[in-house]
Amino acid sequence: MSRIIGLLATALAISSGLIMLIGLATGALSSLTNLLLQITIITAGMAMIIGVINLLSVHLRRIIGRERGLLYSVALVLSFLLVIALYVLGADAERRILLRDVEGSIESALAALLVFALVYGAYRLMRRGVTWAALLFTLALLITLLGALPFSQLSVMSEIRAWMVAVPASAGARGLLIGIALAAVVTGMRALIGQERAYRE
Amino acid sequence: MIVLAFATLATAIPVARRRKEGLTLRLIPGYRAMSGIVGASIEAGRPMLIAIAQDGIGGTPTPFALASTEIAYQVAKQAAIGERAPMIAVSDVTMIPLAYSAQYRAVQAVGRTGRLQQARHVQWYAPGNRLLAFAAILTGVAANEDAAGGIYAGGFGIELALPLWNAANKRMYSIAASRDLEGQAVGYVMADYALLGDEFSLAGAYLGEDSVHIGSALAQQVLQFVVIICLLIPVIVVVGDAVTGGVITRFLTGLFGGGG
Repeated sequence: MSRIIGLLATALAISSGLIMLIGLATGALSSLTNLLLQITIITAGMAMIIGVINLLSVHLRRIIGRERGLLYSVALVLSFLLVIALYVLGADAERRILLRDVEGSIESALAALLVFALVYGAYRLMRRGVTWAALLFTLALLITLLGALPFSQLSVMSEIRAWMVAVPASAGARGLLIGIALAAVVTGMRALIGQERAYRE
Repeated sequence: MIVLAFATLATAIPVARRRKEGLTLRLIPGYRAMSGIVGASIEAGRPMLIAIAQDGIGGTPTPFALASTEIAYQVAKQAAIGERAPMIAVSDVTMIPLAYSAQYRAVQAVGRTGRLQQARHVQWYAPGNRLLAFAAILTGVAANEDAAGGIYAGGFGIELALPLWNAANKRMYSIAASRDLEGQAVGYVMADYALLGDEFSLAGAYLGEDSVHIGSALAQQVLQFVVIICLLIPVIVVVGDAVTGGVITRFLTGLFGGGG
């Protein structure tokens, strides 16, 4: 039975993928591609319900079982219920306060923490061992930071920084991006020819 | 490009099937360390944490979602011989079935289907505006689950610094497998091991030694060489023209026609 389901899933994935590919490449089959896109959107919407059920089941189980991190789970479930209640009561202003003022402030605080995390990361990189790569990284970091300072005495640093960003950093980034894009193409193609493990097994 | 990728993959997979033993993959420290980290987590009786950010089915991230699922599957398969199944935290709801499927297939692969119920460790958290909320919650998930190590895959950007910082403080092993450029840079600096460039997509070839995935890795290498050659040709033409006074351009024009 599972083999038949696997075969059906493979056939569905291959046919949907090919239809979308033909549609994108030639502009034909627009009604069929639109239908597939609508099905995808509806499925994603349904998946959101699954996500909410998953979230609540994980945290309610933790609360009922009095497991580690119980307080966080209580806060999560209460916040969830509060947002739903405010939506049902039509209290949009209060809901916006929760999202904009509470969540926004917390995210800003976390964003501020990132700087310290990155500085600590640079320190940790050197602590792990002084390698050529680590030295190069630290040198590039220092030049970039010094070049960003608004002092006229450091204009040489600004020029070196601009060159570093425009030439070696840009070349490296493009190389990595080409690699990532090729990985995406090959993985997508593997799914299209029915060789993806998620369907095969 | 699509036709070329298809032709290369269609050729590379049979080659990998026939000459599986003869093909040697280059060393990637992140994958070499992954088995050891999973082994250490089994010995410690603590689970692994696999976090997958932004990837999901539908649209551009679909191939990345499949690559991240492969990482989750390989780790879950290695961990399946232990007592604790890995915890998979995802930020996209469409990843939930894929993550469950990875865990299901992992326990099936090692013949421990009796542990299916225990292996259902998937948690979804909404990503927030900049994935910061998801990155921050991973620190809590790692603490609650007492994770021995974390693998951070998907579209993590600069916010990856938060869980990696936490991992370093809690003496957790960490492997960054982000597909985002900023995430890869942060991972290189802060994680114990980082998968750079296209390395995140090679889990099946390195950990599973599956001929289809080895064929894919081979195809990726071939395509990379094709891109390098395509980039080098104009450079050779320009330099050659400067040295020879335009002989190469005249030769190519004569060969392919052009200029009316």
